[in-house]
Amino acid sequence: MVARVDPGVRVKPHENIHLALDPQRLHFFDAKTEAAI
Amino acid sequence: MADVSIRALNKKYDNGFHAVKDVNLEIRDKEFLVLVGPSGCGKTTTLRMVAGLEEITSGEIRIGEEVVNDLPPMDRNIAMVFQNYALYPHKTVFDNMAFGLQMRGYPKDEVKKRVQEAAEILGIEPLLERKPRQLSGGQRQRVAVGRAIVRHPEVFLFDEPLSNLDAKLRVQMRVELKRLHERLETTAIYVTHDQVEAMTLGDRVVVMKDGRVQQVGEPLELYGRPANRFVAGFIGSPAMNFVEVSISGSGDALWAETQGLRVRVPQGFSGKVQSGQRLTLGVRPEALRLANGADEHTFATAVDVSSRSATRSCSTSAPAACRWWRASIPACG
Repeated sequence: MVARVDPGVRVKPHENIHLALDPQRLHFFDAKTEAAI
Repeated sequence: MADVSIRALNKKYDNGFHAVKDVNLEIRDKEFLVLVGPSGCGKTTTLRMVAGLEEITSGEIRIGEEVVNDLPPMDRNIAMVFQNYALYPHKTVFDNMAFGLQMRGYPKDEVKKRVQEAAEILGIEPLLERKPRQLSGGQRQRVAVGRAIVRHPEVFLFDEPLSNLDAKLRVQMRVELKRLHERLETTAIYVTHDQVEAMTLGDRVVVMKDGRVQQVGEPLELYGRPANRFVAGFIGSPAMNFVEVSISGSGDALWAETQGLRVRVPQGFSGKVQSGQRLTLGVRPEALRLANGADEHTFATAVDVSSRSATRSCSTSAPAACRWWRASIPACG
């Protein structure tokens, strides 16, 4: 999964982090038809 | 100026391959419409049927008020720009641009006037006496566009015209084509496999896959409200992330879960999502941010890789359901 985050943020390999999802920008798709819900 | 109407258009080849399936499109007068999709999706075949270069199997194509199904290309009042420029190598730039008009019997003065006008618009006046081999790729493409402009067509058709140019020139030519369209206000249908090009140029964009239209909409509409998983994954760079999830909970408190990830289903999905369903969760890279701690919309992970090019990117150890997570961090906003 790819995240695009603030350019000022510094993260290092193996660093433990929390990623937050913007709840207003989530998408759900039907697993069979793949149509957006 | 003209609108273009495509109704129930099909193309089936003799070998049984069904390249274009029931395509319906209404292209408005002066609109810049882009057909985009992966190789083999039917976008070029659709364009070539509009041009009259490909016979249609069934359906109707109308340009303005006229059904053009049975009209030869030269009678459709369209002009097409090809990926490979299709310039005559032995003719000068002037003659390449003039040829189509000369073949149609336009008077010499009118031909000269139109070529001069187009050359001025495209900034290629100093090149008119050169041969194509003496031109750069970008200059050749300008000549190809010029040859289309002199026709004063009702509709411009572009078949991946920038694909042979290097990345920098492609971006520059995109801007030029957009300006040109704003100046000429001629209906344009443009084919590309490049979603960035589609989103940059199109008033509306048609996403195609396997011969079918998946969605038609303005660029931001496709980005923000994709009709299906294919469109969601095709539009946007980096691409949308997908995770298979199960829905649990009840009432307004529904959760989308997979191993290592549990997020609350937003209220907006109430009534559309039920407990027990298996769905695909889609998250755009730019809808993720680093959080200070855990809450109902966060999940824990660890960075795998950090790199910097045009963007700085990191990849992280993953929730067990995903092999790895990668965070792309733009260096310049």
